[in-house]
Amino acid sequence: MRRTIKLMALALVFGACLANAGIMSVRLVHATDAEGGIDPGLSDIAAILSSLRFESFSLLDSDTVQLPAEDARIRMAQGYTLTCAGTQDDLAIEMNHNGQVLLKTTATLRRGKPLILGGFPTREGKIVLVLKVE
Amino acid sequence: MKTMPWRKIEETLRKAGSDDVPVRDSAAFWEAFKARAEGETRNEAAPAPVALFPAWLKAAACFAVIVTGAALLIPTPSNNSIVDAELSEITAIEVAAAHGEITIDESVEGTIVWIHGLELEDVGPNQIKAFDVAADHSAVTIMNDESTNSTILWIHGMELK
Repeated sequence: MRRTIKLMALALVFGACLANAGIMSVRLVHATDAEGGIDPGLSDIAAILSSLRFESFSLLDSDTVQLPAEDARIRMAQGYTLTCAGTQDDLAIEMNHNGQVLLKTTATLRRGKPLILGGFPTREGKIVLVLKVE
Repeated sequence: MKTMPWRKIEETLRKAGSDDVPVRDSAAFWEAFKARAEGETRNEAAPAPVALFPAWLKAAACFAVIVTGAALLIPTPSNNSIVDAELSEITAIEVAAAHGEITIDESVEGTIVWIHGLELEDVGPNQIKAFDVAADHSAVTIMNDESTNSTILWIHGMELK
């Protein structure tokens, strides 16, 4: 009887771990007013990006993070660095630019529902960070 | 039984003689008595087991259960054959979970109710639990867009030194 209870508890813990496990894609997008449309690598979020007031969306960089993450640091194009820590339900995200902390946020990410962090300025437009748990 | 003077009776019988009284010899009697007391001659046939439920009674009980069950399970035929011939009809439908179009196809063979795009698990939007913008900025907008299932956190007027 006790063995059965232990096995059930282990199964529950394992299931909870699986529920919080996932791969998060990270994409760095440059949004400008120049003509160019939406990069093919952003086709899955084209509807979201088209709601933003920019004409062109180009994919500058992309990477993936295995969740849960323990201070995963991703160096991206144009001097941006992303640091992620925690589970999908409670993910701490830090955005840096050339060593300067720009944004710290904690979020709950739903599978298949992108989180857009935007507004980081460039000479021509804005930098948009797209996080999506697959 | 203890109070009966068996020895005296035996002596009396011995003196009176066995010819007058139709009794066994006392020695043979006591031998038989001892043997019976010690169980040596207990060779009586064992009593037959008592059958509480004879076979015929079990068979009758099974038959009664089968007949009762069949009577309960077999539906009572309706007296109105016209009602029986009508098609199944959906008079009201409510789908609590998120879904798309509902199509109802009624035919002679049956009625098909098909719920398109049913989502059994509505996980809800992403959640921004906390945020802190370290660089200079004018405003922050957080928007959950249900149409695209996305969350946008937009920092307005950020200036990088």
